[in-house]
Amino acid sequence: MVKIRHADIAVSALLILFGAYVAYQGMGYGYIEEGNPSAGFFPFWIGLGILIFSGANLFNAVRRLELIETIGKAEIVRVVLCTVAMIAFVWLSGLIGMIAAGFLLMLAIGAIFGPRNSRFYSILAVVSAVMTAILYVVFGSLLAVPLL
Amino acid sequence: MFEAWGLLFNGLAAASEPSILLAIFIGSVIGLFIGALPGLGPTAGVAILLPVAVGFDGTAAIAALGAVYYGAQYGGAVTAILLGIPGDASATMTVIDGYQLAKQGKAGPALGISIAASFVGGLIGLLLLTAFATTIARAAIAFGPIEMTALMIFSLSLVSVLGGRDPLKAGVSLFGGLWIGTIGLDPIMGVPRFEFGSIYLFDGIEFSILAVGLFGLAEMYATAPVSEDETNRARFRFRELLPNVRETLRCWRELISGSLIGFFVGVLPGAGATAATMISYAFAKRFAKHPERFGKGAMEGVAAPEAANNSASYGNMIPMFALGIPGSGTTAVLMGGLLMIGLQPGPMLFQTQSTFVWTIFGSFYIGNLALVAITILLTPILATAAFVKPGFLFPAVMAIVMFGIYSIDNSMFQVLLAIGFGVVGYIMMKLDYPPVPLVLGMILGPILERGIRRTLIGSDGDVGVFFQSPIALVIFALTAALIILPWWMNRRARHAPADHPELTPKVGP
Repeated sequence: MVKIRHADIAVSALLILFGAYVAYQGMGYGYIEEGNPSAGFFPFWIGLGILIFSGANLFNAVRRLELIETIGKAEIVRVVLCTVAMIAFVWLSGLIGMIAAGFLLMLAIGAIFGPRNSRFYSILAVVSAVMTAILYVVFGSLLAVPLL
Repeated sequence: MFEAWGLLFNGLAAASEPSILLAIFIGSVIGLFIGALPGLGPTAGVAILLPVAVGFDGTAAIAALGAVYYGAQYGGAVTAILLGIPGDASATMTVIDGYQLAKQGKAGPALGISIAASFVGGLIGLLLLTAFATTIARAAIAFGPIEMTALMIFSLSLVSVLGGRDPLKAGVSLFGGLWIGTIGLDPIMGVPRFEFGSIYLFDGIEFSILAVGLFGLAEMYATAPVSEDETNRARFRFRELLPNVRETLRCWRELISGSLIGFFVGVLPGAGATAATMISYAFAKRFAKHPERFGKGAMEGVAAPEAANNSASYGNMIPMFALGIPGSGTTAVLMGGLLMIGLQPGPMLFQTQSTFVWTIFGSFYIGNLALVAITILLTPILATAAFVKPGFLFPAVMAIVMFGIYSIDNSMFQVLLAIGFGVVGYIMMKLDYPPVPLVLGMILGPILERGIRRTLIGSDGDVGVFFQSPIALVIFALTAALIILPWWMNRRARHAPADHPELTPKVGP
């Protein structure tokens, strides 16, 4: 369980650092050259904007003691599992091809969001197989995308 | 203005080609289902289909994506009325009276009025779009780089102020989007910026990757799995769902007022269809003969927000097509689609791509009419579609997203980026950072940077050049007012209870 307020404070602090990095990097690209704005002109102001707004937001977040909302553990686990499943799809695509990896991705995502019973898994397998065929026809044949 | 109607006639003829008609049909059906499915709104729907659609012919792709957008406005009402579940945010006001009517056994008349209101709202929105788009675009042609830069700054400030509950977070989101827009080669000097040594980032980040991650993946992450016993399955006979003409005619005032409010609120960047439905509902209740019936199952309470909802979706398109400024998340994604097929929205689009613009407008008219029949026919299926479990829906959608993103550049790096933006979008959603300013910053940032830098290079670095144009001065003054006024009003509101103790709520026994 993560408290929204704590997450807000952490993200704001990170964004302040990020804003400072963008502004610093902007200066590195050159702010003004021969009297005209250079490649770093815009990034410098963007970095400064991120820094100022995040700073104000951090100040607000620290003061908002009444904010007691949380993000449940189950939800965080679900987001992490989905992300891992999609990264695994990218990795597996190079090994077994996108079509087979796509089928496995659908099974994994279905297992994350669906109920845990054999009836659901059997329907999921059929739905995933049909969807895999559709993806092959649309992307592989119709759009002629060179699938891995 | 009369010329516009002639061009529209040609556009209607061009949009009647079988390939465009098929695109409208497919887009409308997909939009209806996206609107009906809780968890996926029109922005997510258009974003998910964007990489797939741009793979097809340009005009058909935009016609299909547009149809997804206005189709979703129709679909959102079906589940709002039958199940009391708004398919998307803009259908929330429809739930209030629509669901009450369904519970009283008047689901058919309620659906009928929602379809009629969607059609009337859409038609009035389209007529106003046709009338105003060319006029505004023609006026905007007189705008030089200075005026366009001022206009960009104005619209960015408008969105950051109106785009979310927290202007500070909207500001962070906006600047984050502007930063993403700087990734890749500098447009003036060709210097690589923020590419982190990766050749994949030299050309910047493809818009659809950001849109899919922020709107598509993030929405799915945040949707809780539904257990089987949570759903209260409803059954309706087709005959009960047919519209009632007499009830529809009785609500003509709400249909007209809702359509007009929807359109003009929709034109404002950042205000959006949801705000339009709330204002039109409040307006209808305020001027109703029997305001006490609102909230208990008033037909007028369905007619006004539904008309506003659909009209706003076309009002939204005016700043996008005529000025190149997207006014909402969905039009920002649509604008991304236009950029991906090589078209730059803005006043020049009406000059250089007139056939394209009017074919698209023609497709909107055809789609709006076709959706009346499609919605009536598909209503029973849409009512059950709301019960499709995330366990079946999300695997299919995520697979489409993965394949669609890969197909843009045939690169898995882009897929990884989309996954990353999905996580960023989820964090933004949970911490209440609005995603729309980020998307607008990414789209408008490069245009704004080019405008500012080219103007300053042309004036030898003299910033005063921005204040020499009277039009730009007016726009800058409006921008300043827009930023200062809400802050000043908030400050006044905060001090009001202290000045007037009678307004302070009493707490305790």
